Amino acid sequence: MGDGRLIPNSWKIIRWKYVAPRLLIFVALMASARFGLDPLLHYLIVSTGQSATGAKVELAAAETSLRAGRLELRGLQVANPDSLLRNLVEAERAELLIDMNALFHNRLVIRNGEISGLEFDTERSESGELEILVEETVGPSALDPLVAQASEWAGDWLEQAGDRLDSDFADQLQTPQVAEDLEQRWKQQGAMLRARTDELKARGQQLETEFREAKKNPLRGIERIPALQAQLKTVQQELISLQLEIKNLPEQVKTDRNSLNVARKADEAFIREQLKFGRLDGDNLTQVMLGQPVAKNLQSACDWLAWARNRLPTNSTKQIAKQRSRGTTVNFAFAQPKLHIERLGLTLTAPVAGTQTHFTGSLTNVSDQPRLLAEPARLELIARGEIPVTLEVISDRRTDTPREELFLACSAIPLAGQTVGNQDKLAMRMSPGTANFRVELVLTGEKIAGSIAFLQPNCQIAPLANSSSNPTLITALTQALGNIDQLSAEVQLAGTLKRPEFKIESQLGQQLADGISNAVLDLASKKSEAMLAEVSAKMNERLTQLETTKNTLQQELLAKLGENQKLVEGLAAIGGSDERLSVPQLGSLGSGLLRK
Amino acid sequence: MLSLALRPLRQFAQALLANDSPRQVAWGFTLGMMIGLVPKGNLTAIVLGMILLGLRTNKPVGLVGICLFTYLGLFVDGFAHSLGSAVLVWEPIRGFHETLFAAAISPLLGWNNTVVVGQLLIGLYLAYPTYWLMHRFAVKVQRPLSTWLLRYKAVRWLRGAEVGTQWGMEG
Repeated sequence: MGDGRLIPNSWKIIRWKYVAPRLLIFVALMASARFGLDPLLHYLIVSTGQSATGAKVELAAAETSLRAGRLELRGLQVANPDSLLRNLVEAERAELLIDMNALFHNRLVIRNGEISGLEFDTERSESGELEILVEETVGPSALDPLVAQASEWAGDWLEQAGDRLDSDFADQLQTPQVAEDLEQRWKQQGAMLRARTDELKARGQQLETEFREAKKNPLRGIERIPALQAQLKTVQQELISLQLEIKNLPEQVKTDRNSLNVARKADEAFIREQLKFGRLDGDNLTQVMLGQPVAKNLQSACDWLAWARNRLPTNSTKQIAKQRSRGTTVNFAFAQPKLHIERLGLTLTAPVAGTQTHFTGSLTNVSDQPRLLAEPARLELIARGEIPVTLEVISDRRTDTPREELFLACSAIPLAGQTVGNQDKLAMRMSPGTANFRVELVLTGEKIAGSIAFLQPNCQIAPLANSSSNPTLITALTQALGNIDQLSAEVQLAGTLKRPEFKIESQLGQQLADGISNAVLDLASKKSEAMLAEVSAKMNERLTQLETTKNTLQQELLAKLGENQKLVEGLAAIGGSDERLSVPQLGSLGSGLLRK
Repeated sequence: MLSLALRPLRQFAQALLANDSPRQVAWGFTLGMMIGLVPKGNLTAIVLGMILLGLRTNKPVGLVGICLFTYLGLFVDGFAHSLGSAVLVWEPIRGFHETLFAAAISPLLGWNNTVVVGQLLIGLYLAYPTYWLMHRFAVKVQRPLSTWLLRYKAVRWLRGAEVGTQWGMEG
């Protein structure tokens, strides 16, 4: 080199010994980037995907074109960590157009993209297990107590109704008991009166014999006459006493009849009380019938929303205000997020009510710093086919209070027949059919507000019988539920994401409650009337029997007393007694009174 | 290995012993001055460094310039910030800045940072005076200094090692 000056020749001023190796290194790096980027990207997608899901992630190919800013992924499969022979998600092809200029600004902007052949919950040929997963214990839903309480209430009501309708209250009725007592008493009284009549007759005959003997030999028998007269007097008094008792028999029958009437009235009151039912609460019944599926699905949706929300960007202002240590960095453009998906076309297949449905739609304005965007993130999916579905989700996290809106409308969803309610107590079988479904949900902060509307025309509902079911009640319920021809419900949502609350407004509950209540009350009324008729019939039978017994007894006793009267009169003539009682007069007494 | 370890010393000795021309020394120092002033961590500093190393300039003097002006540059950061701010917000060239920014040139080069722009402008402003002064200094000082230093055995040995290295006799 010597003392030479810098030669103007541009080639000579370059220190080739330094530059050439570095140029070679640069070329090698560029070549590596060109040919090694695809495998590197493949590795990064698979490894980060597996770290995130805990299950296998498979990617058939990843191709990039740096000049065009294009990234293409083919054959992406993400295994489901909870079901290792199924895929969580599968995509046939994903093509993303990346803004390369934004990459130099340290930002990833997807200008446009298309994901096609997207499917969820598909089968896979081999296990997607990466590691042994500990299954989390799922706690009870916050909505369970509400539904359980309503179900318990309605189930108890029906159980109680069935039990009461099945019950036979005969052993608890007073009328048969009183009638039985009266019958026994009449038997005893009749036997006693007969015995006294027979004894009176025997004593009269003995007195007659003694009087005749005394009259045959007055000198010897004169001493016995006073004693015989005294005995005769006693017999006469006994005869009068018996006559009075027989005379009072109709009065006794009247008293007994009153007793039976009182018992019958008490029985009527008892039967009515036993078969008295309040009406079922329609709202409560709606909770029973529809609460369980709604609660299950709502809790599941809330859990999913909470999961999705936790993964959405926090939108911290710290991320936005990042400054250099020396000087001030001036942005000559509006602040823009580090990650921004401007538009991503989606073509996916997802099961709707068991039918694979083809959706098309788009995902727009997704970002890690939504505060910097003018529009909220939006997901739109539309299915046109056998089951038309429209889904729109708007996530606005540009303010301090995040807000999500969800709109879902499905029409003509085929529904399989299903059983709702508690099969041990109250369950209904709904016939298969098609339904319209509409969800409007707004999440502001942690608060939920919205509604779910459901309409199933041509719906048949039948009660489910089990071994303990009351057949009569089931028949009545079948008849009552046969009048329901459509099922409509609107669920009003409130509360928070962690503790959602809902109220179901549906005519179903009221229709069912009216049907069931009317059926049960009708059954109770019929049973009550039948029991009262039975009690009245038994009482009348007893009364007739009682009167017959009285008449028979009265005639029998009067006949015997007539004989006794003649005997006593004869004795009185012999013994000189003045007391007389006309037998025909006795026979005419009370026969009319004893009749009812 | 020993050759690699002694390389800075050898190059420094070569610079002082007038193996490089005064223009090379002056260019090296000027580029070192600019690199020293500009905040690091942007493409501007890297490009200037590559120019220093890729052109036939005196690298040891350039390194001295970098060290010296990195230290001195901190004292003029305030002025550089004011100057850079004035340039960046100057309305007539705002469109130019926006174009550079949109094309991702200014963010990579750091030309949207007030201190980078200010220090770069200061460096450019001082470039010619620095070059002229350093050239004059090299012309006057390099030869007498060389003569004086060659009286020392260690310096002669270092110089011999550098020549040997250039001839491919590295140990």
